[in-house]
Amino acid sequence: MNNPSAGQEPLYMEVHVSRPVLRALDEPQVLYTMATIRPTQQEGENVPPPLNLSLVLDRSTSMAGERLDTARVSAENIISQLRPQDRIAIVTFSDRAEVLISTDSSLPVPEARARLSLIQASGGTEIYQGLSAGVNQLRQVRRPNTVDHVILLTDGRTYGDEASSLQLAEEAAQEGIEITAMGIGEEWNDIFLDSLATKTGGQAVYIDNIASLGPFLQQKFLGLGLVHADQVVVEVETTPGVTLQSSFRVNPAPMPLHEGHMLRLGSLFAGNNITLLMEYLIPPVSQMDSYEISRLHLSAHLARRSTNLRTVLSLSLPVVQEPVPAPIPGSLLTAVRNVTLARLDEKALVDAQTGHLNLATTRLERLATRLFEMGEPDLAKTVMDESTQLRRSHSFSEKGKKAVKYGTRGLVDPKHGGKLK
Amino acid sequence: MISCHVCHASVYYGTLFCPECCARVSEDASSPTNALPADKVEEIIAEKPSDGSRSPLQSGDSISLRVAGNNVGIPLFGQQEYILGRAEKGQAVIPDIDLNRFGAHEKGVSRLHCHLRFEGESLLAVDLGSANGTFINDIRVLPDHPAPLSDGDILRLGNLVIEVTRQSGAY
Repeated sequence: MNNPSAGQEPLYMEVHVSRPVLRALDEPQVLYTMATIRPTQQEGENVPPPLNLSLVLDRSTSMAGERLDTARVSAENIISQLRPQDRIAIVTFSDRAEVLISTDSSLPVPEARARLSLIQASGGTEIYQGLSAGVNQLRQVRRPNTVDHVILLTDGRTYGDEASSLQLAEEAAQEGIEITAMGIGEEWNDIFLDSLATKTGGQAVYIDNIASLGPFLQQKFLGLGLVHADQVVVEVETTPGVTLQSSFRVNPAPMPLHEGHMLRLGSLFAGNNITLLMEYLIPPVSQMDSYEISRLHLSAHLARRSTNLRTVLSLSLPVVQEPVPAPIPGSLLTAVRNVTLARLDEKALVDAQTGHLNLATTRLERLATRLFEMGEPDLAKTVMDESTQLRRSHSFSEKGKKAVKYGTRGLVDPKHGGKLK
Repeated sequence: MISCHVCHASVYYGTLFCPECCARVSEDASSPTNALPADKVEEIIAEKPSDGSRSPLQSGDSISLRVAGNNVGIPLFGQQEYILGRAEKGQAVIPDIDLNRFGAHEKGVSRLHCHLRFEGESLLAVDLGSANGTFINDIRVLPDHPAPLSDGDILRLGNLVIEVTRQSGAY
């Protein structure tokens, strides 16, 4: 099911479904759809758009030593690779924020390096302070032709300012600013950072080994330089009676999407695509020939052209009494399985939080069984260890909880896994 | 609602993996196929046209696979290539066409048995190093040696017999 405008617009969406027809039934039925958004190759569009990047670094006491040193070196590397059209801000924060390098200054690299060397670790973690300063830096320089991105790096929990941070992320998303949130070590709040990133179409990343920070930042920076379109959003308008049960970004950076019908998908990189898996629950459809399930309103910002693209795709299927078994695209089947695994873990986390420990451990054991069967013994063992931990102490370990969560997400797209090895 | 065969959770029709235990929900439970009487099996095989009348299948054709003993066709629709085999627990790559519901295990079909792909104008079959072999009209297809398929050819995976036909009606 291709968008009729494919070939003319700079990107297009195609949709695969788990069944080519709906079955006439007097009970609800499930349908999975996988939407893939791809760039169309255009002549003369080889000049990448300018990038405005805001790097927001936690400099609280716990960052002292290797963590801060690695962050500093990674930031230096990025600065030395900036193209003439790019701007960068470096913001550090603890209980308050300091703008170390501002987007409106074009510092020579040695000067920037000298300023980075002045960062000292001390104080607590107030993410709102840093995030707010980082977003404001982008607001000063953002233009219709720029790609605007915040990378937040933290190793701690913020207290009392979660709601204002999430509100800021919401505003940033509406202004076209995307946030990548990176958590180092075990102490950070994964639910909060997930939520912060998801609101903007960004990504939350678990860095359990500080050595992976530099390569990740480098990869992210190179990707951002090749953005084909950003602020990619699919708004799902369902037919009354149809429920969008879940939505999950399969690629890049696998993540469950924010609840609701406005699905922020982030940036589409040249030579890559965005894949979105949706699960619909369809009401009884017994007395009709065909049924419109939803309309997908796709919008995206095309920085190279300083314009926004909007298009709509209707998802409608015939209804038949006795459907003929049809092949399911292998990629869709694999995505549904892996997303189901990731959701099984999410359910176990909710069970544990709500005091349903037996249910949580049962779900973890089932998850571990599947992972063993799939040839993922290391992750399966981590899941079993968490199940044991949960039985003993009635709570997850911070490290295990994150390893399982980002590990199962990583299965969804091994190339762009949430957890870096 | 249908029942997960592993954890017995009730799931909606159309569910692919059980949300409670992540087992593949059996299509048999959700989409029963009508088995033909045994004499129909002979009929399908007997009906195949003689070699001289076969025309090669082409990418624009509407092609379907029909397993001997079943009157349902599996249309090759929407993809350029298909892997035929058995979807089993713990498999990293799941075949595009899962033949489990046709007794594939008993008939010696491998998990990843045979690959069909449209190339240029032809539909090609190649064996994926299966244990019991892939045959077109009883001639073995070797791994890495794709062979073209014609209308009415009998594709055999182990002992599972599949007729490859150009579809007459819309499905």
